[in-house]
Amino acid sequence: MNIEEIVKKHSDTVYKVAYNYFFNPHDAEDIQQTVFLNLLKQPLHLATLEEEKAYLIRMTINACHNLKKSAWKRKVFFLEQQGESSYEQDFLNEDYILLPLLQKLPRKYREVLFLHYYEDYSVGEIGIILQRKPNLISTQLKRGKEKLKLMLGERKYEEFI
Amino acid sequence: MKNLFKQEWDYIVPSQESQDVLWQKLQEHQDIEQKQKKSPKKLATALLLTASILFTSTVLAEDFGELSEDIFDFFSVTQGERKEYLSNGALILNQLFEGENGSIYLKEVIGDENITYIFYDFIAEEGTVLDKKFYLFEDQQILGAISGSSSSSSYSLEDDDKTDNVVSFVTILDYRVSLEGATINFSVGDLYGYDDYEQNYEHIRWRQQERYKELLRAGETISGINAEDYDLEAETPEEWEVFPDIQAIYGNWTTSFTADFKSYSKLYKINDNIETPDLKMKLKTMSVSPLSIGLEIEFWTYLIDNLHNLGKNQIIRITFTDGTTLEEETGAGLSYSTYTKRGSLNVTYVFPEILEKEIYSVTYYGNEFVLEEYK
Repeated sequence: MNIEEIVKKHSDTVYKVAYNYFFNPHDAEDIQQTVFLNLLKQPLHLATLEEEKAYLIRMTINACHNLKKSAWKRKVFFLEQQGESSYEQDFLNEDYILLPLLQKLPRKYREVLFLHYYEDYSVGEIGIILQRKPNLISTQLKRGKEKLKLMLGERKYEEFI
Repeated sequence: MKNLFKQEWDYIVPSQESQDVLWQKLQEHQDIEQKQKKSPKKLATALLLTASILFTSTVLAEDFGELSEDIFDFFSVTQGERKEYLSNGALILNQLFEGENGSIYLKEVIGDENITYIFYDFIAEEGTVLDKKFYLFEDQQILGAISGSSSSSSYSLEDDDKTDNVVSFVTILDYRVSLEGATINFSVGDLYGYDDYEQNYEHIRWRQQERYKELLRAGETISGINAEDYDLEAETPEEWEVFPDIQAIYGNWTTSFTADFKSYSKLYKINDNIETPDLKMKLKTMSVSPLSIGLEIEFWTYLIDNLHNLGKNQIIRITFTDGTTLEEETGAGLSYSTYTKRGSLNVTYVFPEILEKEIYSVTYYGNEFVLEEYK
């Protein structure tokens, strides 16, 4: 499969994974570019579309780690923490219920919740993608749900979920 | 939870503006890569011109990147789309290395998971005309630096210009594994040109007889050969005296390079059973490319009747998306252990011409396996 086909098939997934990591569209777009430009240097030779997608998710998370580790990013993070980011304000409208809460969760819970509930991956598959033990993924999934429930409140949780 | 997640995340998409930037950057990078690929050719071309080597039709193809028309002719490729596809996976070498009485010009390497093709020219010294019907190297060691069973064959391609000093070759390496990224050790020596296969056969037979005589004169014994049948006292004539019509260019040409082509194969993980009343096996993977198909099969020996004949003269049927089919008898690489009771069967079918249509399914031992994208 050539790069054009891969981008068409997976660009939204890559963007969403990066968005889930930073909750920032600019960083997500940067990561999307980084991932696909890197693919030009190391073409994929994977058997199925699903394998390709899982590989790209792993690649995206790695790219996010790298961006976060960079000194430049640390500085930007520091500045953003001084005030409320514009993306949080976007979530104040009533279109979104879960995402503003998800944003407040630690990243380890966000990742498993996103992969399980949006990408439909099983605990075992998430374990392979995130390179964590399935038991740990199960625990993180359970705690992530509990934390969301707590933030939404028992009544709203029942109402919305 | 799932529905709400999907509903909200579906709205999180990149802006159109950022996507336009992404496509633009990808295009820019691809353009840069194309330019970088072109530069070695310019260097090689300059080198050839400096050496005043007459070089006309075989190398300087301009369409579809850098691939020479030899490749397209060899595979009988007619579609522009397929030409572009081939070009995308090819390694363009454009390397000239000189030896005594001539040079080798390595042109392109292409391949997949099963088979590798190396295209190259032999360029004789200026003034030499290579006009025989076909050419063969007497000594030939063109090997991938990897382990595993292999076979190789080489032959000269049809020569468009019988008045020049260039003849083109292809070497086919059948390793049943990909040579992508492997080092290829390339060594050929003593080129002979023949007018017909009878002449070639007679020449080989004569050389064999002369070797026997040398060994017998040295006091060696050769199984099946009776020394009394040979006149060991007679003086050995020169090769050119016995075969005045054979063209011989003596020398050795040795180099090595990395086969950084991109394998055309797409690998499918199948993990489905192949079952007949006489056997049960598991098709683990299937590699598919326009050059060949490879099947990796595993089995328990106790589930196979007539183990020794497993895979022999078996029919492979390939069904294309246009509804047409191709049926051919195939061989297979068989290995098994009587201790562990496990075995494997590797089936490779190489297409006689590069495929210009898409494969829908592959049938082996009567079991059809439809490719993932058509399920």
